[in-house]
Amino acid sequence: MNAFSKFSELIQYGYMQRAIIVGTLVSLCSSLLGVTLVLKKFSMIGDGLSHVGYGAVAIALCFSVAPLKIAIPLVLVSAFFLLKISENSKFSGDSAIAVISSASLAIGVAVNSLSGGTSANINSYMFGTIMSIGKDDLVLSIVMLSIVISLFIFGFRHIFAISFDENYYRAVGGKAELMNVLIAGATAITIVTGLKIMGAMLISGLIVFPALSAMQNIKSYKGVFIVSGTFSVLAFLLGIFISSVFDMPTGASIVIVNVAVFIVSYLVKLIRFGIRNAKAKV
Amino acid sequence: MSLLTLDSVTLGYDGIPTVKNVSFSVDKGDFISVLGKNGTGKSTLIKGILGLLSPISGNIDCKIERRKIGYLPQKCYVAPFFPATVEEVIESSIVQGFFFSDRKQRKKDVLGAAELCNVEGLLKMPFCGLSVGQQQRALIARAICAGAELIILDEPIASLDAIAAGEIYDILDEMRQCGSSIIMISHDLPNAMKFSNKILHMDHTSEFFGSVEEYKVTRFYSEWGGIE
Repeated sequence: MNAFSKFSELIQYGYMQRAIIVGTLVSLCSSLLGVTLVLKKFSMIGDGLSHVGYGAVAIALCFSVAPLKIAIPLVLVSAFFLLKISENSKFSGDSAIAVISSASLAIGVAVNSLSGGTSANINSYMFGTIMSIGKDDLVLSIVMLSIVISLFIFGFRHIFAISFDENYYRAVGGKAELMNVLIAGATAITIVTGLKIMGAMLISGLIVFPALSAMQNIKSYKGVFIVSGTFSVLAFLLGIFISSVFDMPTGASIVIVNVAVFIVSYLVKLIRFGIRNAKAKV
Repeated sequence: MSLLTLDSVTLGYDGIPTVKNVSFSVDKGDFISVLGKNGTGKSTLIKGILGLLSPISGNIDCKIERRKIGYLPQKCYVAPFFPATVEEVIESSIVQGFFFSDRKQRKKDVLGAAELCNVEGLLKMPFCGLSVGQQQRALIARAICAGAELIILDEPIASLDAIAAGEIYDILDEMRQCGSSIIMISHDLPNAMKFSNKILHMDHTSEFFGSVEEYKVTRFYSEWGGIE
């Protein structure tokens, strides 16, 4: 049986269809969010928050509560707190991320160990699994992720303005506080909904790589948004294909495809520079 | 009637005043140069006018809508890899509405501001690839794009050569003739004397506020190297 027929057989299953729908939306959201976070120099916030998500899921599983119900509010509060601290020069944003990140991971592991018996389940949140999106998760994820995508489309100009020059945006009457809360909310939603497929250790790759790949060769903000989103969705689909056909871990496969896209983009940039310099010499 | 009036305004950080009892007013068509040594509270004053700092005491009465105030910061800290075209940068001054609202009007405003600042040929170029002078002109276009009744500039020519600086003064002069009022922090005494009609001299307070002619007979003028 070749790879494509194996994949077309797998795609008949409900869990696979749910994973593709949610995964595509998560990829799109995380890539749009990635452009914003990378350019605001908040790349590590995604990594920190994914660990908060892991801790929150461990607590939820311990008390047999639906993980998203605990994880979304907890990650939302942490996202807002981290964005706030990063703006405040009195504290160091990266040490705040390190503190929250390791504390959440420690709490997650400790709670999981004390509650016992759920280790297989919680491990799927560590590295992600394709089979994890339940029917009840599907609707909630679609609604939440659609809100995030709408924020990026309708608020595009505001997101650009606040990323390019936040002081100026405030000075001319832009609602900087509101925008930062919305970005924090979008970060929290994207990370928590993506946690199951990608895993806590790998979701930040989905946020950072497509943005960096797009920025290698595209020089307009709108262009970077579009290319980053396209790269991310294609890398996800290729990643899930490789993962299901060759029985590889989902999150890792997707991140590896993203790494490959980044390397190719970087090489294309080098070649373009080489051609331009050669022309300049002539 | 004054567009902007500051009455005994004290500003500072964490409750500690750096600028005390500043009083002055801006009328329509004024070009006010704010002079004074480094660290005498000029940029703090600008932050107060823009609403980025709340006054510790005193009153700032601004009759202009916030979005009609154009602003050019002293430094625009943009990462050298930031992907942004000149067009996107100029358009970012319009902070009302959503992505799809008033697209035609926005394009028109951006083009108008770009033409005035002589950057209409650079609209599709990456902002970070421009020369310092071109970047500064693009940022002035951003400042005036939203229909600036008052333009506030914090040392706009500090890092420019004489030709690029001359182009900036020409743009400001044209804006003033179109009815805009201008407040400009500057260390360029000769051009401040040439283009402004009023001077505000700062030394942690408003030491002098009046016409250029009046300023020329003060000790501040001679201390700054001006010869009368």
